[in-house]
Amino acid sequence: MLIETKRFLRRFMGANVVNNWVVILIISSLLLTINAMIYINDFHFVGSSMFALFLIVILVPVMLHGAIAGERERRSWDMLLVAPITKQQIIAGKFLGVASGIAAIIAVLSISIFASDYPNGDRVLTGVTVVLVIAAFAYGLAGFTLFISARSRRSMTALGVVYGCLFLGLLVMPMVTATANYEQAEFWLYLNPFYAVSQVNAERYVYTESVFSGAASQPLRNGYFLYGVLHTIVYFACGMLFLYLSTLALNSEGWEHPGANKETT
Amino acid sequence: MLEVENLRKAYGPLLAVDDISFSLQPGDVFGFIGPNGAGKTTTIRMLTTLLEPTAGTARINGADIWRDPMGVRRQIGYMPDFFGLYDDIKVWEYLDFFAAIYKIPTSERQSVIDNVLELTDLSGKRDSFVQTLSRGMQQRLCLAKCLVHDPMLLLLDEPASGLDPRARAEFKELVLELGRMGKIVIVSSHILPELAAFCSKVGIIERGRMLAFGSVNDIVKQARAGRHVDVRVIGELDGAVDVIKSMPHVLRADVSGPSSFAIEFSGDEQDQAQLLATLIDKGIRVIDFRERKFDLEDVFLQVTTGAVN
Repeated sequence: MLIETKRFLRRFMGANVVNNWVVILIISSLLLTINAMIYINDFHFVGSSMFALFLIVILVPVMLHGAIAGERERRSWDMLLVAPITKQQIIAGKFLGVASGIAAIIAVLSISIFASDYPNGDRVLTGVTVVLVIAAFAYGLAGFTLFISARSRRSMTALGVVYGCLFLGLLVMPMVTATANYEQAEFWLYLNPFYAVSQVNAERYVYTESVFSGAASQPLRNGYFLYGVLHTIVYFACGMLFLYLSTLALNSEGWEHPGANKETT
Repeated sequence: MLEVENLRKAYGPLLAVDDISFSLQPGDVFGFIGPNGAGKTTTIRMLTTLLEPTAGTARINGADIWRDPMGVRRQIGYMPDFFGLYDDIKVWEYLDFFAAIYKIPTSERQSVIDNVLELTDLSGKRDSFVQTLSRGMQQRLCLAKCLVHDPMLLLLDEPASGLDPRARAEFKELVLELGRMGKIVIVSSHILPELAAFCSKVGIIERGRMLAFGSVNDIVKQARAGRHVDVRVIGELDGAVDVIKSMPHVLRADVSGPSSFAIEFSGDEQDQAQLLATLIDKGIRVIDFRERKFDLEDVFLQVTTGAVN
């Protein structure tokens, strides 16, 4: 796990200019925060939550797409498989190694979210809920990316599939279903973290009778707090499910050592 | 010790490995020889527990590849024919990572890493990033990785491929040293003269079947039917051939050049000396009388058919 974290830090925070775009994005996030703090009394700024989510959608697949597919590609996979560790341990090690990086990014982005979206210290619970939704989505996406990586031979294929799924799930499906059937669109929107964050954020304006008071949808009116908490649970559970599926995917392609079903012919 | 019993791997109708059995003792350096596609890598991958055998088994110090794969993995070091190393980590971190996987206590890891780096002559590269190492150094680092947990069995699949002559010579010395340390080393390679120089045992495999197994000398003796002697004479060649053909133990004698002929006979060294004495007694002026030496390459070409290639 430690070595994965080290590799991550060197790759994304090291001297490599190409990879330093991550740092640039984080700095720009902080600049947004400062900007919001300067104009704190002039407008209600809610963009940091969205920006944080956008960063997560972009960054997490980049961080994890090569976790297993990349090992296969560079032919280092066999050396892990002949070590006395299980595939579950390999998956857990890969996940935990990146999880610490995700936690660090979320921590930085949380400062931005609280400073810009909830600058007066009010509605702290709403801010915490937003951060939880974003963090859970990040870990869910990490599990999904790891699963796709476990199923892919090439890391770029894995990255393409993950971005493709995100594009479909977060943009295309809500739009297509919206034209066909409103209830299905609601389902896709409910799964959408951008929509979830916007709804939790909108709560602030609903109850402060702001100009955006019409933004709250039915689920929000029924219980804005549960709305975000449910998302947190669902995203995190999906992440764990995908981790489990990743181990199943790896076990299905190798020798599982049943010890009992040995063919003797 | 390593015991391989009737190991078999089938891919549908194709038998990649067909009932291979052999055993090796600590200190044995075993050369696994065969043409491309003969089944060497398949056999090695079954021994590493990466590939499930269709039938048969193997045991390493009693640990069975079916019943105790983790026990097997703890006792083996595997260097694949093609391998990659992790980018963005240093040489010592790479070894430390695998030392942790093999559950070597933290307090011992430093000395273990220092020892394997010294053994593989990489001490000076301890703090270098692995992607900056040359191909030969990466080979040695991979071998160092195989040694961190002090395995009983080392499986080196084509370890000398891509190495320059100096790196090969160094690698050969390293393998010999590992054999002297009491490890079982299995080396698959195409470079037969090198294998003959440092392997205590060799196995020749083709189309999944082990065609020959034993020490290099034994295999060479088994492979050739008798002794082969090349003779050059001055004067009448046909007369000399007739003299030789009339002698006991001579299987055949054929003219091989304007003044030379080749003898194949089944006798021992005494009989060989008698051949020369007889030729001289008969007044034949012999200017060259030399036993033809067989090496592993000759044996390999003789016992394999090249059907796979």
